[in-house]
This record gives sequence, structure tokens and C-alpha cells, in this order.
Amino acid sequence: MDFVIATQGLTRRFGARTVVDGLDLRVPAQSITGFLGPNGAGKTTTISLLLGLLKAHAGTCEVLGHPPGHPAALAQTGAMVEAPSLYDHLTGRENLEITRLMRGAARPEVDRVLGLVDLARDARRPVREYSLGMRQRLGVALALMGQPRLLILDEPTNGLDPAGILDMRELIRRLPGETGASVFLSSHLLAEVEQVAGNLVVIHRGRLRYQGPTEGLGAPGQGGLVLRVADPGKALEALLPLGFPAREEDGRLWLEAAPGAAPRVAACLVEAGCALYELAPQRVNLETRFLDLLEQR
Amino acid sequence: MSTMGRLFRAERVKLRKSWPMLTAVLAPVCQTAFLAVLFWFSGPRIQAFRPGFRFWFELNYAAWNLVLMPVTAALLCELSWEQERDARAWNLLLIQPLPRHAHYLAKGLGHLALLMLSQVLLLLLLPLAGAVLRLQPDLLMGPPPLALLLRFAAFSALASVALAAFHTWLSMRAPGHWVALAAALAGSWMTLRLAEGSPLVQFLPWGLAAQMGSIFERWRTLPWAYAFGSLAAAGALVVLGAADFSRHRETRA
Repeated sequence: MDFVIATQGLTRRFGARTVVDGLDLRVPAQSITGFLGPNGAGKTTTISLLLGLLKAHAGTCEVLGHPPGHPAALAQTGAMVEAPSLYDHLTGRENLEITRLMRGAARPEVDRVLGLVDLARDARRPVREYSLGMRQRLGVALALMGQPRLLILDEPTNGLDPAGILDMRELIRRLPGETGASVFLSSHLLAEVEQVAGNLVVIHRGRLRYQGPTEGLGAPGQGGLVLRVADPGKALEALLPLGFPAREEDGRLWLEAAPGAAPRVAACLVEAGCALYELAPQRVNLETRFLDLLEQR
Repeated sequence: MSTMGRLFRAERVKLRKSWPMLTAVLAPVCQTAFLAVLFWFSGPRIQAFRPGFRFWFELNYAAWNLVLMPVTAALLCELSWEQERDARAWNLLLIQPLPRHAHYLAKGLGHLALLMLSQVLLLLLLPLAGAVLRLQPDLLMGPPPLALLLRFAAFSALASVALAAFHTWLSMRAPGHWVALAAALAGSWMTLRLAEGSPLVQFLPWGLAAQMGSIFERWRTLPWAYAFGSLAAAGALVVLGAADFSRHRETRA
């Protein structure tokens, strides 16, 4: 698989505090990857390390096959770190013009990115008159300047109202298709990321807690089996010889067993004469699983 | 277009409708207006100073070089760096595929361009205001010595290079309006005190500007040879500032 970001043992300390601790990241190309973690988990520090704004104390890192901060990598990377970097006294167009000149992009590039973020009508207004949502969209437009292959967005929905969050989500969802860019999207809100990201990276206290497909976070196999039977008491007794911890809750039986054990469980119940209506892998709620990951030491 | 060319054009966009630009425009306008009013209402009393166009130019260029230009350089450099800090611009600027020192050099060049703009305005305003002052017969203005004006303007332009280089570095390193203003005024005052003592004074950022204090002593000529020392000092300040800026690769903690 082609990776746009690959780190190994990436570590960064501030004084005695280790903010990023041996991070091994693999961000696949041509996808949206959510970078999740609570506030203070080390997301912005990791992003700063990827962009060369900070220097790692240990470990290696490659962005688009180059070391962080390498001009060849930066030329193909667009980013919004923390809040959008905007000159309030200038118009949206003038802000974009500054970045266009620095990246050596063609003049029509300004109109292209304004169109992508739907700001063409307000481009000639001073940025100080922009709403928070418009400022965030302009920040994304700045990151899109020069058609980057990799887009790194740090909490792009921070401070937005629900409508603004929805707009931003739609914009991010469209980006890989319309621009061909891979998106690395940081957030502390699972709900926000799971709707757009195909892959997730979860960190907490600077350490990697999960990396893989979004659906894998709450995948079957991590929960157990859930059963609906006519007589839960009789079923519990029948399942005792199998040795799986089980409990009855809400009229169902919850069995701590791998999905592979389902046929044995079913056979055992049938043999004992228990009427079995439903046997399914327990699907852990993403939010619950995310919180579990954060609680792990 | 070269990297520096692109960055300098980007600097020009940033300076549109900005505080540094306003400072650069207002400084020569305010000084000329203030001194013109002072001249106008001084009436016969000013005759003791042998007024006229020459004195008008001398007074303005002395005030400009000893006070207004150091203060203007300090303010516009500080305001320009402050503009970047307010915009949290380094998170965007430093992830562009450009060498870090180029950002610093473009910034310094932008500051120097603003100081030059100020001085072009001063050069244009002085004969205009002088023409108005001719309407007051007590001032004995006489014809404008334009060659003298151009000499003063050229000397002043050379003197501004070291000031721009120094304040570009100072405001990057030690932000704050009061720091910048205090450095400008204290530096100018101290250099003026030292101006006659040692030729080494030319290597100070205010060294060449302080020499303008001698223009009232008309038997003396401006020490043009000091310009080499001043420009060399400015060059050294730019190199050190750029190295310092590039060395500080971390923008957040």
C-alpha cells in the first residue's frame, strides 16, 4: 500500500513531558484519515512534527517520501495548523494571493480554490468581517493552494456551529474526489471524523491506541456474542460447560466469546433444548470503543 | 520569478492598508506639518537662525535623522512583525516550500522599502511646504537649494539601511512597541553623544543618521565615507538576523 505519511518511533518532549511518544503512523494515500484524540493528546504536536515546524527528539518520519520540512514534501502538502493563519486587514482574495505568490502557483489558482470552498462571492470582503465558518473555509482554501497531494487539517471544525460543521464535513468529504488529495484530518470528536474518514488513527497521551479502518474501531470480535433465547436462565445453565463468562441483561444474554465460537454456542443450546431466536456478534459502539481506548493505560 | 521576488511581492500585498504602511506615510507628513506650523508662527524670532530654504531643509533632515527616522523604523518593523504574530502567520508561511532565511530577508527588504517610501514623501513634501512658507516674508525663504536637498535625501537613505536592518532583527527577537521605541530613542541619543568621539560610531545602527546633527555646523561636510561602515554593519546585521531566524526552527512550544 502507498503511504503518504509514515513515522516510526516518533517522539517529542517539551521539557520533562513527553508529548508524542514512539508514534508509528501509516497514512494511506488517496483517502481521508481521521486523527483522533482528546485535547492535549499530542495531535497538533504530531502535525507540527510532520510539517517540520517542530523537530523530533527521536524516531523517523517521512511525508510523501521525504523528511519533514523538506521543500519537496512541503511543495506537495497543504496544511491548516491550529487556527487559520489570516491577515484580518486584507480581503480573502488578498490572503490567497500571498500564499499563491509564495508557492509560485498560477493566477487562476486563487479562483479555483475560492470555488472549491464556496467563498467566491465574499472574496473581496476584508477577512475581519468573515464569520468563523468562513474563516475556517478560507483556511482550507489556503491549504488547497497549489493542488497539494496531501492535505493536513488540524481541527478544522473548531468553534463552528452545527451548520458550519456540516458545511465543513461536506467540503472535506468532497476533497479527495475533486482534488485527488489525501486528507489527514485531526479532531477530538469521533462523531465528526467517523462520518468522513475511511481510516482512523487514535492517540492518547502521545501514544498510538488504534490505527486502521474506521469500521474496525468497533469491529466484531472485540465485543462478544449476544443471544436472544426463550429462557435465559436455562440457557445460562446450558452454556456453563463451555466456560464463557456470560450475563443476562435486558432479556438478552451477553457472552464473552469470539465470533468463531458461535456455532458451538448454538449447538450447545439446541442440544439442551433451548429455543434460540438470535445469535449475533456484539457490535461495540464506536464511541464506547473510543472511550475504552482512551482509558487503556 | 525568483524566490525573493515572489516573497517580496507577497510582502507588498501584506502591507496594503496596514499599520506599517500608515506609519510610513504619516511620519514625514506629521513632521513636515509640525515644523511648517512652527516656522510659520515663529515670525521675526526665527531670523536669528538665518532662516530660509536651507535652514528649512537642515532642520527637517536633522529632526528626521535624529528622531523621526529611528522612531519610524522602530515602529514600522514592530508593527510588521506584530501583523505576522496576530495572523499566526508562521504556521502558514513556514510550511511553504521556501528557505526560512528568505522569509526574513523579504521582511527586511519590505521594511527598508517602507522607510524609503517615507523618505521619498519627505523629499517631495519639503519643497512643497517650503513654497507655502515663502508666503510668510519674515522667513526670508529665498530660492530652494535643490542640490542640497538631494544630498540630504541620499545621505538619509543610506543611513536608513542600518536602522531597518537593526529593527528588523530587534522586533523579531524582542517583540513590543515600547522595546522598539526605547531602543530607537536611547540608541539615537547615545550615538549622538558619541558621534564626535570615535569613527567607530559609524558601525552603530544609528551611526550614520547621527551625523546629520552636524549639518547646522556649516563649515563641516557630511561624512560620506562613513556610509561604507554603516552599510557593512547593516549587511552584518541582516546576515546575523537571517541566521538567527533560520536557526529558530520551532514556531510553537
